[in-house]
Amino acid sequence: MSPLALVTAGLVLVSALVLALAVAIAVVRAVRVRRAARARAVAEPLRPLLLEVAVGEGPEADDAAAALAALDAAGWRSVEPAVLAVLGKVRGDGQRLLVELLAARGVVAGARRDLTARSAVRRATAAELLGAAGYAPAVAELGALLRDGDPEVRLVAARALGRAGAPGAVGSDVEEAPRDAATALLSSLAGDRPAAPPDVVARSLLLVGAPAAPALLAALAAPEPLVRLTAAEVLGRLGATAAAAALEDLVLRDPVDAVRVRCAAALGRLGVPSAASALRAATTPATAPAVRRAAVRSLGEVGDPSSLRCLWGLLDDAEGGVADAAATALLGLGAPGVRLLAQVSSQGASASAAAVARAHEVVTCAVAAEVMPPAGLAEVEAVLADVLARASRTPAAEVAA
Amino acid sequence: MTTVLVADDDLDIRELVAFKLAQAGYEVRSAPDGVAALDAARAGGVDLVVLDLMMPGLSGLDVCAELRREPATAELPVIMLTARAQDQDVATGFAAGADDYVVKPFSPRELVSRVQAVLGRARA
Repeated sequence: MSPLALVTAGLVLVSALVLALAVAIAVVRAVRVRRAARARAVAEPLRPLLLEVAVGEGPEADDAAAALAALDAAGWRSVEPAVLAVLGKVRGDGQRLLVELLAARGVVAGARRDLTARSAVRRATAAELLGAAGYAPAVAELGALLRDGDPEVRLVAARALGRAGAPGAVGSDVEEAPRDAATALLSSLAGDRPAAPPDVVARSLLLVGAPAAPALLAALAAPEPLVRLTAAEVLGRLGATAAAAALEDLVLRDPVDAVRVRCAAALGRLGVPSAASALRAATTPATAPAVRRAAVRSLGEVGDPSSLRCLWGLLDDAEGGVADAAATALLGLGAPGVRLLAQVSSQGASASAAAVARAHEVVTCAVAAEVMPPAGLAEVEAVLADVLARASRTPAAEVAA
Repeated sequence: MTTVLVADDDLDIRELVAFKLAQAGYEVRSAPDGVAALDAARAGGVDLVVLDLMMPGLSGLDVCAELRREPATAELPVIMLTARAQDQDVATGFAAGADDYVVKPFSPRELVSRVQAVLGRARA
């Protein structure tokens, strides 16, 4: 055979293969589209039943759940994706009914089995489903998954633990679920490398909510700074005032500045007046600037008037960030703080030029941004009127008159 | 009949809210994004809006602020329905002019109670 004939034969063969491939792709697509259309046709009439279950109220919801539970295999296959899509979007009775339906169809048991599957995708998918279901009985298994070799699986498990350990979770009569979820999440931050991203762990702990407080309090004594830091952050966001004393202790004594910063911020969120003393002690020049700034900001959030003198003294602090925070914190003290700022601003109170400029800036910005505390505007006007009156009594003014 | 506009880019959420509100006796209109929600509210005949915070194009906050700016819709009650549950998010929602705030995943029964309460306050 000549070279030209060989090339021609090769080209014909390649063209035939490409054509066959194109036909195969078109056939597969057509089959998929037909299957999807058939599934939709079966699922569409079942949609009202699904919505009735998800809304979860009254005997109609129970009847709808029973009807979906009794579907034949083909019917269930067509409706299952829609059930899973709605799961995690509702809570309350609807969530409970959806989970009961999935349990009746064996989906929950399958997901629990898949948590130990060889495929990481299957493990992550199972954890995602149990998390969306808020399925409290799976907390221990999800906790174990935080030691999974795959980081994506650990991430999904951390997210799922927040939902499964939350007070409204299905089967949350499993008393230990929130406590176990919180303990597992905090443990995931121990060691050289956190098993899951700390922000994801913190968000999940927030979902667990108040029942996580005992585990979080215990975690403030953990040897790992990341655990203490996260516990402090979450306790502050949860408003766990019972943690105030422990946080006050750490804001003064923790060896890691980042932990002290979070403790100071948490005390500000808690707003407990008794914390003002520890926060003031954390503003001394011997303390790291970041801790001082956080402590000063929190003094403003606590809003205790006993901090007036401390904040006044910090208005001309050598650390600009601390001084700026002190000026803003004075606004947080309400009328006494605003009065002091106005007096400093009008040079009626003894202060350095930097403090006067800072106070003036904060008062002016607060008035312009309309964030002045309610009593503040009157205070500012009174001080300014006093300044004008004093100015009008100066010898120069009398001569001019 | 009292009409509620439900704006959410998630079809499941739109259908769930619409189904529950219809069960509770409300007439429901739906919008899949912020622009459609604004158009539907401007068209009139809406007594309350249930607004998702994060929608493509125009966010729920933008829609709410726009509704508050226009005299015809300035008093229209708005309930934010959102997955963002932090204090700051809630404060931002209220600052934009929302009358109430419901966090996803939501309880359909609680949502209806809040719709009733907000409408009651608006009519008082």
